Amino acid sequence: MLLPLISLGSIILLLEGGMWLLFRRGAVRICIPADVYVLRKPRVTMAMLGGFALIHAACLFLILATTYFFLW
Amino acid sequence: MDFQGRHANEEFHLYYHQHWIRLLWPLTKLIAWNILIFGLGALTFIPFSIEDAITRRAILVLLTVFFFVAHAEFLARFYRHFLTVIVVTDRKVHRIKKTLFLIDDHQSVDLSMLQDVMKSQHSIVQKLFGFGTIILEAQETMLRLHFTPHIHETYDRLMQLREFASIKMSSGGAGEKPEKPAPLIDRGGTLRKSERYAYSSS
Repeated sequence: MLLPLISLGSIILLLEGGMWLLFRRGAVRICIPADVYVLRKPRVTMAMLGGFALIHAACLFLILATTYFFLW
Repeated sequence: MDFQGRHANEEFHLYYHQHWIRLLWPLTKLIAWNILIFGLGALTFIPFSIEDAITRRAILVLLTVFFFVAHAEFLARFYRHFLTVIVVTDRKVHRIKKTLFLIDDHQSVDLSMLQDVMKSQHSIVQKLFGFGTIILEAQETMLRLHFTPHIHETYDRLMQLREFASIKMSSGGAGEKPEKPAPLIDRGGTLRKSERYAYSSS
């Protein structure tokens, strides 16, 4: 059971981390503010998007770990 | 605020991403794929107890691959949405469009060169959610800004900046200086909707 969990974790880390790094590279100097304090309007910031990536990765791992726990 | 392709004397005024409705289709597709994958899994594993461990694990791995592909596609579309930015300065309108791997496109139009600025909303959905297309027509170029959110406010703002840019250009920096529209950025936190409206209509 440990091996599939480690493999799943690695794949999720690779997918989520890779996408995030590619996005970070593309988002340099593209007007996505680092935080909301500089804006009049509440906008999507890099911190929010990073939070989304973390939550998405955690959800993926939880869903797959639960499924694998019962069916592996 | 800094952005790629900015000239040293350009003053930042506003920026926006396309309307969030662009993410609706990728999200719907993701949900549909998840339902399909979990439905197939439930139909395979719940009625039949697959005794052979290799077959069971092979089916599980196959479904997991589809699950990952669906999520990777959604993530790519999600990030691409935030890599498309329209930036308006006191001189130009920039459209920066990127993807994670291939595209890095930067198009800009000089505000003082604009011959016509048009806005269009073509459906109930567009009217309901307040987005649409702004078309900027310059001498030989036409820049279409699709899925522009808060289209009326953005249009008014563009007209204001265009007027300012043409006055500035015709005066050539001599004589009385035109009143400059205030940039939509400050250091004091967020404004309430009523304040934003008052600010944008001033």
